[in-house]
Amino acid sequence: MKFWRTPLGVQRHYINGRYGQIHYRIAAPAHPSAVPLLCFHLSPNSGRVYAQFIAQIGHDRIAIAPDTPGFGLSDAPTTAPEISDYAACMGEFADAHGFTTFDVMGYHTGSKIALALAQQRPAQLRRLVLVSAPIYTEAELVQQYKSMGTSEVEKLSEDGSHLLRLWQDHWRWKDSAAPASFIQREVAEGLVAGEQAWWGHQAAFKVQHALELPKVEQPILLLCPKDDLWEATQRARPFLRNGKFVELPNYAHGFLDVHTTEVVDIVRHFLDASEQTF
Amino acid sequence: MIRRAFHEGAYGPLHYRIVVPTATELRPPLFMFHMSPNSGCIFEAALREMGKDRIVVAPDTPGFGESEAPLFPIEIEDFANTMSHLIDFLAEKLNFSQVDIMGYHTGAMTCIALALQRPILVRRIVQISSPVFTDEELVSFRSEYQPKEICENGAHLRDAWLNLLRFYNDDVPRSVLARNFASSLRGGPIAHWGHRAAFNYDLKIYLPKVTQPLLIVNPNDDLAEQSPRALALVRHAKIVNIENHAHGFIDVMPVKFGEILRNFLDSVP
Repeated sequence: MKFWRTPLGVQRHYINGRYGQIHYRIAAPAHPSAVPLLCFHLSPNSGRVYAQFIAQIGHDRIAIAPDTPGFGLSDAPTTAPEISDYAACMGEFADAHGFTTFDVMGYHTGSKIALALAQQRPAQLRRLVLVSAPIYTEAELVQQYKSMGTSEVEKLSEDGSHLLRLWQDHWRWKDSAAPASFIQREVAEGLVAGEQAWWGHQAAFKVQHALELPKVEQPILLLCPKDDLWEATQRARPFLRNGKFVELPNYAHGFLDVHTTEVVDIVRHFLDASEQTF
Repeated sequence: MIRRAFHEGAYGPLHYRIVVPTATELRPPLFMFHMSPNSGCIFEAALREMGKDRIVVAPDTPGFGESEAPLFPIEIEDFANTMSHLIDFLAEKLNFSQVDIMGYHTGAMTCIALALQRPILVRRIVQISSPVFTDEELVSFRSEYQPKEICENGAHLRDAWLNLLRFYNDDVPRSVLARNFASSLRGGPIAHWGHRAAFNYDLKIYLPKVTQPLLIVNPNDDLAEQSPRALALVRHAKIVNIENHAHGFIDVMPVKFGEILRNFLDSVP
């Protein structure tokens, strides 16, 4: 039940946002000694992917994992949003919690939201941790749109073959230490978004890391696990203006659950490094 | 407008959906308890329809939807006790003293247990299915609802989908199928605990003790044969058959279902 239960120290709440209610998970120590950390999940998924992570990193700082609008338990917009819309919503979310300075972590689609927010809130957003930042070729982008970025992909099949494809895609890119029960959770979490599940990807594919990464001055830690975006993320190194690139060849999807302590150490080391490091 | 919230329950956060209408003259609140394995999302159409003239609440049972799971399997009486605490919390917050309750399949069992635990609080009861099983049927149902192994190729998901489709007619929108299927997965490894509790709760013992008025709504689903048997066990009960619909009927006929509910809940005793 590890992948399903809410870890000790993590609470769940709703707050009002521009599209309706935003659901979030939060770990908040009694006396935070570090800057708050906002964590943006991949698509289609929810903040649950960060539950174990924020439980641990939340020992010394407020760590929050909201569900992006339209995913998890957060209300969806009425029309498909852009990455800049997601980012603006998350900026308002930070305001609602009274954060004047904060760090962000983004996972896949969440990385693009993090970069957009860094540009919208340059004075407030201190440091970024990105899990993957794929630089696509034209041909790869066409293929990505075709496989993930349109409503065609969400059509249900009477024979359930859509579920076999979904499961096998998840299985292919999972961490070797992540069991089948983790995949079951991920599939369940992704299906919650229903027929709008593709909105996250369609927004993400319109924004290119090759253009956005160089615009961000804040320090970036770019983590490159060996998942479906490993190869494309390798190409991101030269686009980092002020950052560090860390390969995680032994990690894949599920790493936040099955290698939590190690990842927390890596992230904490970066977030808490002195200014002179950058 | 449906809002969602968490309440700190005995097993951790208990998630619920709620509609609080702005009108001042309201009917008694209606609490709705879902089937297994699923969540309060199956009542979204009923929340909107009945929320026009009363507070309506659809909690996620512990371990289902977004409610935290207990550490071990619990019984129907425990589900009822959890709902009782939620009702008391909201009663103080929203200022009401009596409620009507409605339960769907496993939720229908929870209704009876709650009605017996809180005879003054619970005014009227609606059961969507009131299955009175024979011993042979119970053996068969228990066998059918054993936990399913996860297959590395995902076949268990496909089989779960095909199994779900068995209980829905063609007029149910695909979005409802998708929503209900997604919701059915959220019990995770303990998804079978709901059915386990339901099959442990013998309505033959408890229905005769109910004193509140009871409406049995009987859709044409897997419990259509067992539900009419309940009439003989309850003093103040009647039955409405939904003959042309199975699961998903609330989404297909929300206004008509609202009429059925109001005719019963709002009638003069």
